[in-house]
Amino acid sequence: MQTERNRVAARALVALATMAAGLVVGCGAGDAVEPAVVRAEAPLGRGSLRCEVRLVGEAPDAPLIVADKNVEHCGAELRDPVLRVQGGRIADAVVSVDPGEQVAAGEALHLDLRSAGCLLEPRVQTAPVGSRLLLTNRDNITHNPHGWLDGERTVFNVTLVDEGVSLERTLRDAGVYRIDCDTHSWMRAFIHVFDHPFHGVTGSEGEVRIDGLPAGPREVVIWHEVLGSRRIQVQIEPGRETAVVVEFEAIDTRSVELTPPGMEPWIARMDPLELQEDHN
Amino acid sequence: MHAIDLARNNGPALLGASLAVVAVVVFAAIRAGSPQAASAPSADPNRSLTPLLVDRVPLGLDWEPASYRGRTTIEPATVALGERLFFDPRLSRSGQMTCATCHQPERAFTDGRALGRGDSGELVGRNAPTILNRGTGTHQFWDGRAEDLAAQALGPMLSEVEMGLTHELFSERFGSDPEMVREFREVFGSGPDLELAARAIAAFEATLVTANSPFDRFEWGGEREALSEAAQRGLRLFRQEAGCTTCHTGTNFTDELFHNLGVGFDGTSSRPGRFAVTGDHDDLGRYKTPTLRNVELTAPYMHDGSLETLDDVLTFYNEGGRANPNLDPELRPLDLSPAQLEDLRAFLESLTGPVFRLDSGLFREGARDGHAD
Repeated sequence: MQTERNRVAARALVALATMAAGLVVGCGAGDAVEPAVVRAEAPLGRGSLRCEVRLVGEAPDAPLIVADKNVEHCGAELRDPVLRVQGGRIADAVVSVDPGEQVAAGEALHLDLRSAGCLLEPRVQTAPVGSRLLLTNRDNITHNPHGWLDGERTVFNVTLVDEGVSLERTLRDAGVYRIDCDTHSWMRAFIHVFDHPFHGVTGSEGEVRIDGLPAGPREVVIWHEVLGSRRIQVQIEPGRETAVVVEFEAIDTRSVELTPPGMEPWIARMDPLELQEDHN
Repeated sequence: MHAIDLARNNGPALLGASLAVVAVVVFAAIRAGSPQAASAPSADPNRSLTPLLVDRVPLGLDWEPASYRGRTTIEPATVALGERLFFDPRLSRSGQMTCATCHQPERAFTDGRALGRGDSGELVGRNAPTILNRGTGTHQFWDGRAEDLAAQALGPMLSEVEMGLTHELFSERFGSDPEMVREFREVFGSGPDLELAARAIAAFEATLVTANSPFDRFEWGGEREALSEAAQRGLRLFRQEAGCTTCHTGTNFTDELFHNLGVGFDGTSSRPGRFAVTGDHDDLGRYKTPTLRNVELTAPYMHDGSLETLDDVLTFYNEGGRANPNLDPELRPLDLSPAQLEDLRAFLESLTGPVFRLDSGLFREGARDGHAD
């Protein structure tokens, strides 16, 4: 349901330009963008993509989390950073470009993921397959980072009992890793792992630049935790930067239903009616 | 022969070590996503188990060598000696009791009694906990007074109430056994010694694991049919409304920390629990969180064995534990329905899995020499 709504909400892919030509092209709602420069054949060489992700409409307040555990440390209320927007620019959006060919994933990285103030940070990261993830507890309570791959299966589950405790795990497979804390249901982070090197996450300026892309028509995927995903086509020019602006329509983040940790939709639920009868 | 101290070994070099010669014949399942075929028997019986611990832990245990703690040395000859000692009655004063008297393989290495019974028939103060999956434990015993398995193994042997052994008695009995003298020399380079025996027993215990339960196959293996719907509902409750993951965290379902549930509180005073180790009054009545793996097989429950069944345990938690001045603040009445409690029990029962030897595959009851099934 959420996905369907986002598909509608994320209506406008506004502009694409080749920076060198200073060209900006608009397009209709929901349509794939025509490349600013179209060539009959993909040219040799490599180019760059600069992708800016914007929000149309008023940025919503961060949803309120009412903590039900370790209140003395976490505080009774926290703000859930599901959607970080500054001046209409959206942070934490993953942008990836399908290279259209088999390429090496690139050098494995050493990523950090910290629990601090009963939130996981950074919220969203990308990495090549084989990267190592250092999980660190910066709170003086127990956290239990639990990694799910593509919402299908658990890939790690570790207990970090105290402040300063760290454990490292390898991100062996490509896909979307969602990391929850089994102890504090509101804690969440994402790591998108790719088998190619063409990916990045928008920072607070809402932008990411991806270099070294093989020239030619390329599919770009823009993903956001609650705004959904878009696929667009761009033309990468050799020796040039192609710039795109992607807009998502604002949503009411209070209505976002996040999957509770480890509670994938395919896990059976208690029938509410049955539950009520049992209470009687 | 070279021994590997697991506490000091980790990292890519180990990860990259070849598995081709690791002697694992049967593993019903291994790490998620890498269902490799059984390996050929080892050409080198003294090969370190470390690569195996990295790549051959059964499905559902998220362990790496760095997880192993203390001075336990995991090396096949040490493990073999440790296993022999574990089942050797000469470790008790009477010559009648073994480690396995209280840690019976068929009961997930517990004894089915509320309180253990010592060599002289005297009751031990606490319930015998399982020794499964203790290789990664950060504290041993209910009050955590031992930092590693070797220190733990020494405790019951030297306890007057438990096995009643002395260093002298051990040396006398094992020093006069040529076979044992030879084995100790091969493994440790010196004759039989109780401290060394504890290290060997610890090495054996560190190889004993359980996982690959229906729950593991469901959550790590993606087998949607592995869990009944009741158990799946129980899993939700476990992580959400019931809040069990506050303490029963990670893949061994324990935070390895100490909590006061009010068990043993008689209305005016608590047993010391962790306080006996730390002297900190906040630790009064606190005991270590036990694993929930194979919990179906380890009744009765709690550190004093005072709760006979899993239903009793669930009812106890549903009522918020037993009020006392040091009750854990995260414990509160849950108000779960009888149906929900049944679902939780179904989930707990789904944690029952086979016992594995990390060095040789499935642990087979009666296969005391540790050969693979």
